[in-house]
Amino acid sequence: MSGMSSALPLWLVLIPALFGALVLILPGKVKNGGLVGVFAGALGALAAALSALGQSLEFTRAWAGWGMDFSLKLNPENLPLVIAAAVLTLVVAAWAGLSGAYPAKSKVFMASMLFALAMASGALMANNLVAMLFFWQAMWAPVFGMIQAGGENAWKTSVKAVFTAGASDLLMILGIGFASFSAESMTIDAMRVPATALGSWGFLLMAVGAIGKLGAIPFHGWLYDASEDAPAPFMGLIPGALNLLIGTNLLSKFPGMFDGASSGAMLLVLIAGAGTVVLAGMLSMSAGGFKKLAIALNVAQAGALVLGATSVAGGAFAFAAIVSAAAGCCLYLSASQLEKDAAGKSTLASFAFYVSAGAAVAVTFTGALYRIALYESWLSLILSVVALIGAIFAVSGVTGLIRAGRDGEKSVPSFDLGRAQAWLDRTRCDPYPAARAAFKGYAKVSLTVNDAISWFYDVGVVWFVGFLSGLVKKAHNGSQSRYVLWVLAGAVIVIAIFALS
Amino acid sequence: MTGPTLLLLVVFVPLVGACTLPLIGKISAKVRNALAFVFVAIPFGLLISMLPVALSGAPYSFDILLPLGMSFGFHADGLAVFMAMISSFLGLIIVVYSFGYLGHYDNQNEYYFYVVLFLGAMMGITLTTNLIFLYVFWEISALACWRLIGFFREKEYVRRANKAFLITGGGALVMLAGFLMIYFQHGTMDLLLLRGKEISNTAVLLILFGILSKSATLPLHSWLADAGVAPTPATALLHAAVLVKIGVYVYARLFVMTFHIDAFWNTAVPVIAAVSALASAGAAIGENDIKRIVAYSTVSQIGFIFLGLSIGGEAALAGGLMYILMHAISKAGLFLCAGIVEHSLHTKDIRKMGGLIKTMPWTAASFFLCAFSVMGVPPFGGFFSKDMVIHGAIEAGHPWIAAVFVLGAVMTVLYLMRAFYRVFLGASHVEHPAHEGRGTMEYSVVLLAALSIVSGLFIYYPASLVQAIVSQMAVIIK
Repeated sequence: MSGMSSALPLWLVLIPALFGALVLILPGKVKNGGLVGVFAGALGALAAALSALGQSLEFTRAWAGWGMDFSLKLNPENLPLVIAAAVLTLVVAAWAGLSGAYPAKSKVFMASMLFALAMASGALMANNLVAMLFFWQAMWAPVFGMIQAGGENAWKTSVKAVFTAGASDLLMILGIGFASFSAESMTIDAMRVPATALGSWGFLLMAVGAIGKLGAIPFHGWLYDASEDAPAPFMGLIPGALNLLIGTNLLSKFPGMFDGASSGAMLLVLIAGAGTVVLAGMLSMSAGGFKKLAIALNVAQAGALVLGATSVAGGAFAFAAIVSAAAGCCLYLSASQLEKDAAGKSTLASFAFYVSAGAAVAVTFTGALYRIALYESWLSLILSVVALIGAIFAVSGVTGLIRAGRDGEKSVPSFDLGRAQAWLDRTRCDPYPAARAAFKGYAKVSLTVNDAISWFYDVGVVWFVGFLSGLVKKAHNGSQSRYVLWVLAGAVIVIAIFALS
Repeated sequence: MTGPTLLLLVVFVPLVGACTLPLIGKISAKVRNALAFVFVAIPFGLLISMLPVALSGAPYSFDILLPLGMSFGFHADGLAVFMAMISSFLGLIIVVYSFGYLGHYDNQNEYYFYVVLFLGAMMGITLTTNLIFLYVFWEISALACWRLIGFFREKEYVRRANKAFLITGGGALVMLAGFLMIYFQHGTMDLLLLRGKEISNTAVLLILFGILSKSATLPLHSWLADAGVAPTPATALLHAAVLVKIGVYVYARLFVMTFHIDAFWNTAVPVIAAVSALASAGAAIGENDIKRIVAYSTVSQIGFIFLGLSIGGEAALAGGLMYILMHAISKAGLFLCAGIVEHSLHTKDIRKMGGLIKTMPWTAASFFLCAFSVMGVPPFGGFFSKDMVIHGAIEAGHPWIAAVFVLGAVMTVLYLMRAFYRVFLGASHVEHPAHEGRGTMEYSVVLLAALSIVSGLFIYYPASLVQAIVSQMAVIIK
């Protein structure tokens, strides 16, 4: 459906971005200026989005050439997501204001909230893959800025977050390249990627990008660090809400973009989804705290969203995305509140936590059951059942924490999964330490290779030149007969060159 | 002024002007500094005025015929003016930065002489129409580079300068052999007359050797990391902005715009570039010397440019050209930021830094912005260029090479983030109190950081310029 040309989609990006810039340049003495700026920016974006209700609008301009147009499209399918992004930003800002949880460097933090909203809105509306990538990847900067605002110890976490996002996003660049080349277009609603090998790789790598954004396993490790080091509103807004919205939005476009992918690619995506649900379910059983449980439940629902990746588009997915984002946001905020209260006695926060936990579990169950109902093959059925088991684990995790809260004890799993559980508790299935070690090892090898090359020039070449000049010196010993021999040898070489040419 | 006059001024104002600087410096340092600025600003201004003509399809050109099939001339097409503009603009910023950086060092006359001479040689390389004069200007730049690296005259520094000279000068000699082969094959060294001519693989190999040595590509790259002992503005000039770009420019000029070369090279050069990009990115991850990290990063990023220029296809070519611009801006910014840090702390070891964002917020912010551009994060200019190069590689039918470069891009994120947090974030390991750089130094890095982001936000303009150049090149190629 082609939309009416309008600058409104652009304004949905510009309004929060401009307010973000305003917050940044605001004098420090303006009390609560950052908070007011976030409210104004998010409200402005919300009002603009609401004014587009029932319309289909498009903003397209020539950009970097070669099919890379700046194209935004607002339609009844993505409008609810754009509205949800603005509303959740407002909720997080309100919570931050009321709880006083926003950090001392609030100007950078608050501006980053608005930049994140702007980028998320852009990613949700983008109708060109490069435009989408532009907004998608541009989230790195606000993520970095917001985690950094957590204090001096947050830098390691911010680096880990950006590196994790970098790895998945850069793989998605490759996927976008494969997909757009196969479809001979970068315009999302005009793309039909054929089910070729390259198209399937495009499908798989773009799915990796979405999986990374959703924070599904193996791209979830940084969430644990961020929950400790970053300010709580960051967790509520970015991994809890915006990342879920834009990740799910991309997945919902897959059925329209891809004519199909090879069964191998599809299977890998299903394994990622089902694996995420079951591992996150296990993590939830031994979470032992509200924040960790919030992470596990969010990761589980991310897995469930991945499970539905290639089978359903449009409204149903938008609904799932909004429910999961609302649940994720609420889980992180209430978990933070409950852990701050030490004993977890805050009734309102407890209520919010368990309601949102219920919603997250419901999303997880729905994803698994939906996939079972879809029944494509035995393999997909087995994976869907695995995901269902994961959802049951997640319920067990929630009930375990409820019991522990009632009894004032540490959460105890309902059933023991033995060594697998112990391994998971120890590693959290986070590949980051292994990746770090691998890169360190690779760096050592590279430095050794570079040193060897340097040695070749510094020592090898110098020695060789010295050796040659020594030979020449020996050859020129002052004897006339030696010089005659040299001349003759030279003449032979010259004659040989002429003869051969 | 006529076209030929303008072309002569672009090249000879800095070349001749450089020779006057040591004399003027004996009278007044301020006048010398001002004139150094003017001798670089004049070519830049003239090049801007030439740009519309360069893109019009009838660029300024002149040629004087010499005996033995030789000629002397300049030709200002879109590619040449684009490259010369980048070099002279960054040269200007580097000269301004030098005013603050070199304020208390000896031998400033020599420094400004070589910097301006180097830029003049660069103008000559970009505009010349003859292979033999290309070689002459190339060697002038190598001489200037040699003296600039050994500027501080310590024994170890001089050794490193010698190494750089021997590798790049040796490479140039090998390249000269390739030029001679072309001369013997076609009877001329005039690039305009050689357009569309086929050359042997041996000639390509010999010329490529010279190009790779100048552009510091594996295994001819080790001089670049060692050259970090030069004064920082010279390092920026050599590593980021100009010197290493000579190689990629000459590649584009000779192997994209002039000669028909075997299709084999469309795979071989990207493979060399990929190996170079990965090996140097790994070294950058493990390094602790801030200048060496940025130098290895240059080697790695040059791989992306080579990929774009060599793999074939307009999108990749455009990406490669755009990355010459974006990388020059942001990498110059990174080097100059590193210089401010080194200037303040008297160390290049990132383990002895940390927490500098508190005392050097402008430098930290500038480093951050430039690093994000090199990483290829939107909305910075580097994002579009890298994206186009990778898309171009896929379009050219080399998805695996594109995948290898994506791995290189992941490593770029890793080493630049590591450098940033080790220097500016985390706990402080600083032994002396740190402070921001002098005015001109700070203005320079802030300007480059701003350009890194503005060039991305308003990508339409540089992209249109590159598109026009690529269209011009495509007509010539066809």
